[in-house]
Amino acid sequence: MAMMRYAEALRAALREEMQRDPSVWLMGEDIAVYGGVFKVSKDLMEEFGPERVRDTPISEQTLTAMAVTAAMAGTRPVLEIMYADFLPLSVDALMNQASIYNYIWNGQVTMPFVLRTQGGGGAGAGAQHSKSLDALVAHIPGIKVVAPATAADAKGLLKAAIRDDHPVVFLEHKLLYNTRDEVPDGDHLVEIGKARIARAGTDVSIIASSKMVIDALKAADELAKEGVSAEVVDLRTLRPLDRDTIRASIAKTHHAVVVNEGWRFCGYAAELSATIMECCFDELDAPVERVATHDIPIPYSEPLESTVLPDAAKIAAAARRALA
Amino acid sequence: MSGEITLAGGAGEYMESATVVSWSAKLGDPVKAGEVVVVVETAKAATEIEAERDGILAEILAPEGAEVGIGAVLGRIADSLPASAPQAVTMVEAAFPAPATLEMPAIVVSGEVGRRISISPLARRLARQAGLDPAGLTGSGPGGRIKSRDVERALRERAPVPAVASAAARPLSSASTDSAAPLVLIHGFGANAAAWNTLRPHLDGGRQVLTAELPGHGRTAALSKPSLDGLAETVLAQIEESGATECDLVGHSLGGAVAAVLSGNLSVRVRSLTLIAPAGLGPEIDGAFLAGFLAARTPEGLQPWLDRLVGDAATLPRGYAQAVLRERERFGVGAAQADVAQTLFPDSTQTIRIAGDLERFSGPLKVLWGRSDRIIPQAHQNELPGHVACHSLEGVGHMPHVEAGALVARLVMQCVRSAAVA
Amino acid sequence: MKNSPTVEEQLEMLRRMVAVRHLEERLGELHKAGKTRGPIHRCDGQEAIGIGATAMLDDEDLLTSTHRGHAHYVGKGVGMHPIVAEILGRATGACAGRAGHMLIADMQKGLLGGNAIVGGGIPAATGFAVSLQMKNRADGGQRVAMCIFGDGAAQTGICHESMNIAALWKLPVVFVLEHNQYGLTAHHSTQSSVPDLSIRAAGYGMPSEIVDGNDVIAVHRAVGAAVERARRGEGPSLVEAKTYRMVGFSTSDVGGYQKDEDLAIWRERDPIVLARAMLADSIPAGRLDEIVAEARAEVDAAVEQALNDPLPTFTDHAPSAPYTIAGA
Repeated sequence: MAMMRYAEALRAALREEMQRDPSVWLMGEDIAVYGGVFKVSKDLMEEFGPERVRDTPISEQTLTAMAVTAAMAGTRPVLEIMYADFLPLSVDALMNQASIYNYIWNGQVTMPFVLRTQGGGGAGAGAQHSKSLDALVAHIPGIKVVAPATAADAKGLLKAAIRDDHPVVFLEHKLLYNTRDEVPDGDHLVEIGKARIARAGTDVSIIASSKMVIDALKAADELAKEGVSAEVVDLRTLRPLDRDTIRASIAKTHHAVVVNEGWRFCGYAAELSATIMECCFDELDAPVERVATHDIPIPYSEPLESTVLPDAAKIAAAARRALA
Repeated sequence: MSGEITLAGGAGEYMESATVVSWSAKLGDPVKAGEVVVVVETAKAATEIEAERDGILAEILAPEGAEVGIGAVLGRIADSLPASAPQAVTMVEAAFPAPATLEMPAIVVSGEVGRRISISPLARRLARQAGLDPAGLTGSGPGGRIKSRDVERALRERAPVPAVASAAARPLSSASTDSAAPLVLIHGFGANAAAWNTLRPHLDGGRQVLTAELPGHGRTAALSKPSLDGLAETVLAQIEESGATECDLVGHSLGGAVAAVLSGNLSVRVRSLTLIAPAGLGPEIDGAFLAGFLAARTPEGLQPWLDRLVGDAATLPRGYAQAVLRERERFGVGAAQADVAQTLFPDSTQTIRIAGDLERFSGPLKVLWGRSDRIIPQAHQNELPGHVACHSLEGVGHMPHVEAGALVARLVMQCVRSAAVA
Repeated sequence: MKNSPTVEEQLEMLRRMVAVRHLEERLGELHKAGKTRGPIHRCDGQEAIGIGATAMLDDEDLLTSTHRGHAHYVGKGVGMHPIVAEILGRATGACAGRAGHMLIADMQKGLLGGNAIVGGGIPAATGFAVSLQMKNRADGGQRVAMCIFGDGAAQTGICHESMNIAALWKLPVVFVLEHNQYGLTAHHSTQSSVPDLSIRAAGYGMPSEIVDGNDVIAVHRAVGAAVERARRGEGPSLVEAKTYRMVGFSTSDVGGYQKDEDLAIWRERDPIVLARAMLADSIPAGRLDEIVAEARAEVDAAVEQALNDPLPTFTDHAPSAPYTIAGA
């Protein structure tokens, strides 16, 4: 085990997989010489050369489509899209290309590529650099979507994503890059599609992913002071969704708070809510409570931004409503 | 028009909940469309909600001070007041409806207003399993929604001992990962897992609790061997199934004897024993009670015998006798119980002995007894070896866990905690 | 002349062009008879490009096509029966009935594949080229990617992005612009500020050439040169092949926007007529008639067989199953 920052854990995953498999290569804006605007790929071009660590033009739409077919033709590209806010440019390639080929071509092709990006608010980056578009990508059949909350999962899931034979969108969060935790040494892999219990509890299940897990854990601390035992489920993978873990948690607590940093309407939290209704309706002792970002553009100024984003206090309040 | 007074988005687009500040009309007051009927307050401002139609304020579902979510129904406007005031929903056949009503649909319509009962899915399931009519329950959730706690409270209030069916809706578990060792509760003769409903709220919430069910009791008519060892084997199997490798045991009456027998088992280590008026410490037992309890066919014939269980007959809930009889009828446990009584307690005599088991048990061991016990004499406490802690409860009969739940829970947790320290 | 096809190669190209034309005619009939689903995009009059541009490709070379790709499919070597069966939605189709006529792919033949998002094939071929470049450098291979796209697709943003990246990274890709004058119903003059789109290649420092798209030999020569350049590792090229769409956008197009005089001029320049004329000196007419008859018979046989093939039954996609939701 080693204490590692989330960004370092991602870099370790990239380096290890590039060492292990010469068909793995990286592309993205400012990732090679500069090492990425969040420094995730720092020093990798020096180690692996400019053919395997490529700076690209600002051409997200084409780069995503290229990752799809490059993967089909025998290499394993890892594409960095600098901000999740730029994902709409990638969506044609994901939705009209990557999503369809394995199925409509009757299994003739696989597409082992990873699209890494980072989203999330709280940094004052404004309406075009703060979004969480989990629902946009998780909506697409055939695309796996992961969103780790810890450095250990960041490493283990990225390694698993690179080895996966199908498209994986890897969602990071700008406020997690500098968080640290223990990361297992060596070939640490985390299975895609498996949630984890970040904190065990008995009264209410808080289901979250990415940075919202950190907020959910803070909320659980607050609730514990009131005698409420909250269980925090860290989804880790948004698609395919680990229904079994959700079901087991709610069968225990009978109360659910679903949390997602994306917009509320038609957001990922809505999918969680519907899933809970489908798989554990008879376990519910209260309506599912949903915590998400207000349905407006994310404003710039701190008091405005913090009002629209979910946080620990809002999660705790939702838990209290569920238990009312 | 529905006549529902709802908390809609009008109170602010991003509002998630609001607090009811005041009702402008009283129940039964005539209201006109467009007239303010209720004021709610959000984090940002107070908002007035107007009546959408003319009529009479027929129901107030969210009283002043209640916190309500978006879309919640705060009250209803109707053409006339319902026959019975809605807050005091009548307890029609509340506790123990006829078996036919067990299959009642999720939506229960009662009263002239045609009001849909607001009940959580879990609460509805628990009520159905326990044979409770949701119409007879008072909801404590937002907008008067019936939650599982309301069902549990109703079960506690109405059927502490041999409750209807299996109130053990969550049979062998409740909570927590704090300890790998569950607290196992073993009920007495003629009762079932629901016997512990009054005790459980007083137990430390962090402990996982398993309520065992003796064969021939509750919903399990099958009885392989009517011996003490046979009963103990079944309970041990239930504990093993939970995956526990150690546990703390609490047993009442016959269940106390079962717990004592289990204390020396090699499969699941028993850390502590708390026995409540246990059987097996002396020959005497109230044979008249056993015979009368088993022979009774009507509530009137059973009630006098049940009164003997407790120090003060008033502590027994109404409807309890009916519940016992219906359980017998529905699950056919009467014959099995007669078989157990005939084998273990023939002719007003206990044939079972647990003194040796207690002698050998080295963990914390408490025996609790009510001074007014009329089923098994408290004098049996005098037979106990010196390492046993004895508690003698004033004004309590054969059912200390029902009659003095808080105290019994405190003593149980003392015993459990001292095992943890040891 | 360099990259000129041999007589044998010319005969094979003629055979394929005839087969494609007859396929389009048969599909027109089948569509009218209600035997096909959805629209059919025919390439009557454009066959020389799809057939001529792909004639020098190997199975390891990867081709991206369009929604109007029947000539590309045949040119890349996909069998007539799997194509027809796919268009008729049969279990025996190239993609077991999942793709339909616009999206056919055949991994074995390096066709990946049809693409009905206009312009979608351009970055797709560019992406293939990155992987092929890495593989070529690793094993000394000379694989190339090719994109056949239309004048409508040339107006997309991804066309610019892709050509810039392809030239920047010297990728082994050949862009073949099948300029048939129309984007759906809109004439190119209403969509492009310049009539000759290939001049844009200069903006990427990429060589380009304009050829008569109805002359299969000219197409073969120009594209062949571009393919060789790509195989040598010298980067991408653009070949603009001028042609004319002799039919409506699709079978659902009611027409009325193409001038009769234009259609008459281009009918005179039918690529099959031209290809046959160019062989007249070296091959007896009887032999050419035989080749035409064989090609038509192959299509007819494929249609008959496919019409009798079973329809698919729905099954969850098991082989790799990225589409399954765990626990659902």
